[in-house]
Amino acid sequence: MKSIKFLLFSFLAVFLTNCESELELNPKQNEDATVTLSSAEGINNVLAGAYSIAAQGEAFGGRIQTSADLLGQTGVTASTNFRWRGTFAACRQFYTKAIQNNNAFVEDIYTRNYRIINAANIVLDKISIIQDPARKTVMIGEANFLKALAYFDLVRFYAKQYEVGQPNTNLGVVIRPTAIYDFSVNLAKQRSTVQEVYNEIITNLNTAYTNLPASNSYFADKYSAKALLARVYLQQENYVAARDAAQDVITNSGHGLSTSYATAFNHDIDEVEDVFALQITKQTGDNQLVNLHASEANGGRGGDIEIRGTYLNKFTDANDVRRNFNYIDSNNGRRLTSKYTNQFGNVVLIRFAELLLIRAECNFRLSTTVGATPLVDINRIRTRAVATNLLAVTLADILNERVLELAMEGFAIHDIRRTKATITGSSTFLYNDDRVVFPIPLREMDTNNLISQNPGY
Amino acid sequence: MKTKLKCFLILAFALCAQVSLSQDVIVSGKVTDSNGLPIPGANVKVQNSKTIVQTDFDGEFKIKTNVGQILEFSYIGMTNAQAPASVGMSVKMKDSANQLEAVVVVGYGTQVKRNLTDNIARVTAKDIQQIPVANIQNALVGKLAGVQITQTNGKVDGGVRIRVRGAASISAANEPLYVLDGIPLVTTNESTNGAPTNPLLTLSPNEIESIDVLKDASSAAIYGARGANGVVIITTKRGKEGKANFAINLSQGVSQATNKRKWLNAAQYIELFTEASINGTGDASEAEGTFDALNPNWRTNPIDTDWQDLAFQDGYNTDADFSVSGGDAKTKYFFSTAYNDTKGIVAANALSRITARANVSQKISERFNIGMNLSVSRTKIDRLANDNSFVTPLQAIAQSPLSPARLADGTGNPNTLYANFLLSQDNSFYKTMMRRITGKLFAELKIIKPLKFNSDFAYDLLSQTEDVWRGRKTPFMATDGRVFASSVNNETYIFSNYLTFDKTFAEKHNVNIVGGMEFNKSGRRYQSVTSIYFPNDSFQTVDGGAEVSEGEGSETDYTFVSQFGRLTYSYDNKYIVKASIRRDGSSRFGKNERFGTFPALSAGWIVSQEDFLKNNKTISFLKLKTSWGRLGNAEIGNFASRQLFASNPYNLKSGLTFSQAGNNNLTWEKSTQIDYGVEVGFLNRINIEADYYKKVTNGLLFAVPLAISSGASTINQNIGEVKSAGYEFTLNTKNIVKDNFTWDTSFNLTTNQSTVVSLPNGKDVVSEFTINRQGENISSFYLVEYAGVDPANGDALFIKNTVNANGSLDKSTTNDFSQAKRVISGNPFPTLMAGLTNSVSYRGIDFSCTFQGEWGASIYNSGGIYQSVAGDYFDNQTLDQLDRWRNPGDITNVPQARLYGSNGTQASTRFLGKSDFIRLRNITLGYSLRNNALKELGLGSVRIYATAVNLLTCTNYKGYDPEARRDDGNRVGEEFYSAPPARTIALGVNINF
Repeated sequence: MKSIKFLLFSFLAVFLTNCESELELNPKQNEDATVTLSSAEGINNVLAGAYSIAAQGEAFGGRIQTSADLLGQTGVTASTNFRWRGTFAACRQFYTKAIQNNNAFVEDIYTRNYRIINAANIVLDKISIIQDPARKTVMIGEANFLKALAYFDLVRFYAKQYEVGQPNTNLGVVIRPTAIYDFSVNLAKQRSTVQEVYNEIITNLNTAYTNLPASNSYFADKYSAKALLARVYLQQENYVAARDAAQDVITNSGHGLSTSYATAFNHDIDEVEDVFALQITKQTGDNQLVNLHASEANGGRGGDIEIRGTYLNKFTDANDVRRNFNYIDSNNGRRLTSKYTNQFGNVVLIRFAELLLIRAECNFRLSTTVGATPLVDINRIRTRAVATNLLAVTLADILNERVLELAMEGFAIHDIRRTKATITGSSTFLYNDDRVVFPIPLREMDTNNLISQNPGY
Repeated sequence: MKTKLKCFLILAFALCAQVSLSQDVIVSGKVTDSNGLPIPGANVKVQNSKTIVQTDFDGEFKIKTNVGQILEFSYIGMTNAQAPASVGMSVKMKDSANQLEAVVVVGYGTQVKRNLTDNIARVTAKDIQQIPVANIQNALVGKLAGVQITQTNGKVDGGVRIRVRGAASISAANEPLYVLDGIPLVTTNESTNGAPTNPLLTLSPNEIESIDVLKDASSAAIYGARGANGVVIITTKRGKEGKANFAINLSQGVSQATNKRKWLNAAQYIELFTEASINGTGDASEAEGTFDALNPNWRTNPIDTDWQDLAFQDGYNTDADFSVSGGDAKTKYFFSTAYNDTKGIVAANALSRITARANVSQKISERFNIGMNLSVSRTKIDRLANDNSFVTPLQAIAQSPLSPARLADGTGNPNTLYANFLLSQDNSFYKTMMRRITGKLFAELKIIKPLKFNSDFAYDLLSQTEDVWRGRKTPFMATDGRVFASSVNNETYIFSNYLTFDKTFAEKHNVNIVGGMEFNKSGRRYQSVTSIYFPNDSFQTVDGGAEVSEGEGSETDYTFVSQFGRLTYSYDNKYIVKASIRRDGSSRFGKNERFGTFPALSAGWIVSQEDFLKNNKTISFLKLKTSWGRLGNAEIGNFASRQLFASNPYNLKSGLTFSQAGNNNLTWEKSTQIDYGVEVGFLNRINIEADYYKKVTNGLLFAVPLAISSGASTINQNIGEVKSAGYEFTLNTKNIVKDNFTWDTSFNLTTNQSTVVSLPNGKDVVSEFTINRQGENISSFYLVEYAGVDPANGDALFIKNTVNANGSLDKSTTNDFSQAKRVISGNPFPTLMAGLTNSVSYRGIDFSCTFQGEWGASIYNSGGIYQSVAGDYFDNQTLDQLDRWRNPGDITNVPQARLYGSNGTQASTRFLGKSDFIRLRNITLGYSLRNNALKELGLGSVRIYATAVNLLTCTNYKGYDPEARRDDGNRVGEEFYSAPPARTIALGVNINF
């Protein structure tokens, strides 16, 4: 009997010792951060991952653009260019300027941009792992570009307009200068000023421009950085710098206008006109522009954003391709844009046409003709759109041409703010009204005890 | 009954005196239950001898003994009886349910309830059988003190939440551990559509013998790191010695929603929105434009669609169960099969399930017993989209009554305000199949007399497949159809070995020691594939698609390695002490905190065994008990401690994105629970149990929200403490005990306060509508207080609740929502729960009914901002919105109708409601045919019955149902287009032969 007991106990003892080694399991779909961050391959993947975040629908995959466009509408059917017909309460709040501090899109846009920033900071922090000096330089450039892209939309949405000639000490957004790995420490931080955020963006973009090659496949290159810089300067009303940046891209980048207006949209592979585009495939990225603009048959939700006659009336030439670049959804009779009909098509963030418009506007405002006269630039765009050429241009013509050319591409509210225009809806919203600035998301307010909310929320 | 027993006793003494020297004879007799029905398979034993026989199919027995010798009768579920042997004797045995002799199942053993120092709630087969619900948990509602059971909502496949003694955690799971015949079950929700499925749907109530819920630390500590939320031990039926017993149950029922809400009809809709348009946009054109779009002929040819009617359907359910059990001295067997077919109350929702089970054991020798339990089941569910989806039927209540539901040709109308669920219903399917195999091979070896060795190997496989086809005409379809097919296997195997020593020394000292080990490994393997572009709608599998557009595959696993021990000592059945300990190691925890030890102690004093009470006529039983113990909660996911990057490809090239903030010190939550209890019985008829419990959980596994500007959203930490405390009270009475007439009452009442004691840095943790704040209830609602309507202008008003200079709250009102601060405004969990069951048996008639009630909770209707906002947008509105403010001086709670006006549409207590309710949970009436007539037909017994579930509900809650909650995401206390539960009425028959 004793032998049986002895056998049992020894069996148990051996079994238990063997079992304890079974406690060392590793995840199979994720990778321990120490593994990722210790190899060049890992850091390269983190950089690619940052583009991937940008390509999410909640970020530059579309919601950032549609939010800007809806915020720029009057919110009244009779006077709006684009009418919100959808059911997302978050979008309706943009449309009617009744944003609440728990608005889901406001939180998503904020979250995604800071994820991009931390990913870029991680790449920059770990860059010494990269042995190949050429690759290292490119990565520094791309990471800086992505940071600037994120900060620029954060400061445009979550803070008031940059005021030229003012100290701009009003609150911008939180700047995270270094990578964060340890999340157990206090991460609360106050927002930096608008001026500081713009300084950061410009520094990032200059660094990107210095380090990036002239051509870099579908990733950001030298001219992506410069083109974004032109946009940033324009938002600051720094017309000289904006003009020169645009001039650099127009002259040196090798990009140009696509042969027809239609070919500038809905493509799976970047066009000549694409200065920078996010790549969407069936498996990766999410084109939310199609989701919110297109009919169900074209992959959308049935035309959440409808084109109104107010917009069509801005066209003086009935044969302007851009005026007719839309279709009627047979399910519900809504007029929808043809810019977004390929649900797996790339999302173009910077088109060459925008740079011509920037150069034209700056030249006009500065009474210069760097590169070309404003009239030439505007007619170059109009010719491509098969619209009758203008004989002379005014500032209003140039700004109108932006609307004709770039509508529904995420410019509406930002152009209103920088040109100090007024939105006349059910009530009047000045360009610097509290209601055209996003609130700091409630989620951030609840977790960051140093941060201040925007006025009006 | 009493007089009968007395008669027996007198007779016995008489016989003893007269035939004390008689020789062995064959004594025959019959054993019946209190209704006079024969009990086959009951043990009949001659006292102090080895002679034992079983009753046959007619409850009759023959045994060789002396006349007058005491015979002992025993049968599982019955009170043991004794009677002196006599020729032609008849013995009635009484049900032992809820009585002190009942054997309750504890981890790795059983114990008699009389000697229990733990708190264990128990239901047996007869409490749960024949209740026409598709899942076993629903049959338990209202029957267990301290256990709250809520099905998420009225979809047949809906998840079920069980909370044992309130919430013990904030972020980790609050669900108990389920152990079936010693096997910790896989309870992973494997739904891919956001709404949980109930993994225990695969169990059929007909194979269940008993369910014991281990509530206190003393009982649950033997499950260590997984016991903090309580343990539900399910024991399946086993064969008993005796002739084969065949049992058949057939029932059919119909069901409807417990409640429907009232919505605007077309005329009311036009009236309200025209007014809203004028107030909100200046004229009626905005509303009329939309009316035109919904139905161009709305003026001349109005349509009035009742979308709610379309969303619901009449449910129908069928149950057919069959079992056969029996055995002899060596072999015991139980075989069963059951079929359930349920058509839900929500359109196109259905379930059908087939289960089969074989439990067999064989005594190889006097010392060695071996056996196997094996069950297979197959559950097919026609599912719906989750509550937060346009194509779930209940969201149709948002549609305008002006829209026709279908076009003239019968197809769904594509031009509705929101996607028309009928297009989805007609042109798609979502089929989930759950297949489960659960089996256990067990062996028991008696090594020496008091020492035995048990070794079990168990395996549980839950395999779930989902097939989703969406045809060309489904809403949002731009790829000529889409098919998604997924398959996931969850398997767990457990190897456990333990020794049990049980001996009574010197007749008074009983010692029971259990010691052993267990190894548990669980794995999950998932894959799915999606294809798009189909030639036509007749192709409904992945192969039909032109392009495979998505594919997923993943694996994950976890292990537990454990040792455990338990010592129970009782002296003279009066003083009982028990100590248990378990040491658990798990792969789930940070490398610095991999092992934990979980001790428990308890003691009991059976006062009624003391001389001064022993012969007390009034107090028949009195026990005092107390327990203390520490438990763990390991349900935080498999790799929650690790700092991780996840694959996040860009343009079909690999990429990695930070996915989880790490914490090497992460470990289980530690719950310390104390329990003080008293059990008292009066006149052997009234039994009262009262307990106070307090469960303090510290080191909460907390997904602590981070400032999202850091780039991460949460970090898992063991921070904070919650406390859950309350009283439990159970009263069982036998109001009438007569031969042909019995009336039993069982009442239970539980109070619970689950509060947050401390939090990371004392900081509030705010979710969308709820907050965890020190000193307040767990997940309290945190909302701006709605203050009604300004009679002067119809503006919605809110209470400011800003802090005044003196620290008080400013209770003045404002019409500017941003000026108002959120305050704690309700508790999502009930603080008082009660259940009352009455069972009456009169001759062949049996009747039982169960009432259930919950008080103290609130529900936030997160759909309220669309449903009840006086026409802020074109969603159809609840009828009460017609009470809107119209003229200065109007006193109402509904603000002026303003299209797009956001007049009171913000999240506030306007959409919060008290969910107190009392419900007639179950009522059953049965009639058993007299058995003489049946005997000739060869039937043992036939019972026909009618039963109903959720027949009546009393509540002031204005939403669909006080028990319905939204099923998407992991949200607390919210209703969002959530289907109410079913009210079912069924007729059935039980046949035994």
